[in-house]
Amino acid sequence: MPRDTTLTIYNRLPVLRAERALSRQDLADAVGVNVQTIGYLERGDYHPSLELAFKLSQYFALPIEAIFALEPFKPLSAALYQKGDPI
Amino acid sequence: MTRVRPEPLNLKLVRWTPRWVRPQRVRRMLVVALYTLPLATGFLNRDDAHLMFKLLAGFAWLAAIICLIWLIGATNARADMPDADLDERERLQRDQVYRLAFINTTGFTAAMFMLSLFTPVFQSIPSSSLLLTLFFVALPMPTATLAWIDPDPVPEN
Repeated sequence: MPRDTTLTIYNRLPVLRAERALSRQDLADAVGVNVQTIGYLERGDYHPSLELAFKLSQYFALPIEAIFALEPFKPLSAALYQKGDPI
Repeated sequence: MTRVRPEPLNLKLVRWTPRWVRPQRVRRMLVVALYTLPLATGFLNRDDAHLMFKLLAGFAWLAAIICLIWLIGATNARADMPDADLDERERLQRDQVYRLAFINTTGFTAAMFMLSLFTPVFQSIPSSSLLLTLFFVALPMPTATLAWIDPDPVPEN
């Protein structure tokens, strides 16, 4: 099976940071990476390793699939107020 | 009692590097200067050149070394850092840079070889200058490649 080099991984990192009033530097220091790496993750220019994904999951106390996904995330507010749709 | 490791020289270079050389546009100009100055010294240092040109060749080499020092600083010496001092993305980028540097060095060396075979001007350059230039091409190529491809950091907002 040919390898998919166009894979896009969507993330909620900017939203999660904004909710907790975190700067990129704060998050970078918390998970032990360079601040530029957080920027690359947020823009989708870099895919995290499993280790980094778990570190972010542990830091935000959320499952990995709440932070990263292969499909675009719905807006949190829309998901929260639309009945029957999981966040 | 933990032993404090002395700061490596390449990290000192990072602190000594002026801020204005850090943008990608300036880094790329430094890379061009890094590789054209040694080539120029080859022409200035020909056997039949005037003494003044040979002195200029010395200054050109000094300028090339300053370009290299600034490039190491502008890239935070990431091309030469060990694994323990880089995060996962930086390690991946460093390894990618070494792959590209190998391709670039091979191409540059092949081009210089062909020019030295078929171009009379290159044939008048002392072989010691050519060998020194080749060495100077290979040694900083990872740093030069990283300086060329690394984008400017995106601001927080």
